[in-house]
Amino acid sequence: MKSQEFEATRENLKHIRNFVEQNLINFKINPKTVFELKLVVGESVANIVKYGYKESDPKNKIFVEVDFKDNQLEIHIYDNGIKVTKDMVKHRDIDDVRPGQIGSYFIKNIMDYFDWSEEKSDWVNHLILKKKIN
Amino acid sequence: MSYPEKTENDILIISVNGDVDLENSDGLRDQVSNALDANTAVSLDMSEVSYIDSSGVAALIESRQKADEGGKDFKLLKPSESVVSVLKMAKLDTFFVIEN
Repeated sequence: MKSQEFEATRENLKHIRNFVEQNLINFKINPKTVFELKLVVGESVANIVKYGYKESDPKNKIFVEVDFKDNQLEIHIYDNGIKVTKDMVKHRDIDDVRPGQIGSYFIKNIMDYFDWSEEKSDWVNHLILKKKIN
Repeated sequence: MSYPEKTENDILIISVNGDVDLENSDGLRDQVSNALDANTAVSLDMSEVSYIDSSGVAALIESRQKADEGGKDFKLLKPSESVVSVLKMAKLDTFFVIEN
C-alpha cells in the first residue's frame, strides 16, 4: 500500500493526481484505466477542497492510500472537511447539458464501488473507491 | 494566469495548455468570457492540454452557452487525446464545434 498526506489546496490537486497516477503505473495498470482513475481521484479531491473545506488552506489535509491486490484496486481518501454521505452526491442526467455534477458522473461510471466509510476514524471522511482490474 | 492569445482571420485564438482543473478553470472561464465580449469568434487551441477535469469542462460549457446567447462563434481546436476522452465520457464531444 502506498500513502501520502497532502495540504488540501487547489495548487496541490495536480500533485495528488500525479501521486496516484505514478503508483498506478507502478502497479502496471493499463494506461486507459490509469487515465480514468486519475480523473476519478482528481474529481474526488477537488470536491474535498471546493465543497468539503470550502477554502484552499494549507492547514487542511488530505490523506491518500492506493492499494492493488488480487486484481482489486482500492483508493482511500481521507479528509476533515464537512461530513459527506453518499446520499449527498447529486447525480445528473448526462443528456442534460449543464456545467454541474459532471465529476460525480465520472466517479459513478468509472468505479465499481464508491462510498464513505462509517467506521470510526481520526478523519471526518473516509472515501473508499474500488475497481476490479482485468 | 492567462493563456496566450493571438488573432488569425478575425478569430481570437486562446492557446490553453497544461492541466485545466479547479486551480485555473475560473481563470479560463473569465478569459473566454472577456474574449467573447470583445470578439465575434473565439477558438480555444486545446492541443497542449494534458488534463481537464469537470471544472474545466464546465468552463467550456459555459463558454459555449455564452457564445450562443451572443450569436458568437466558439470552437475547440485540435483537442488533445486527454480532452477528447473526457468530453466523450461526459457525452459532450458533439456538443462543441471541434476542428482538428
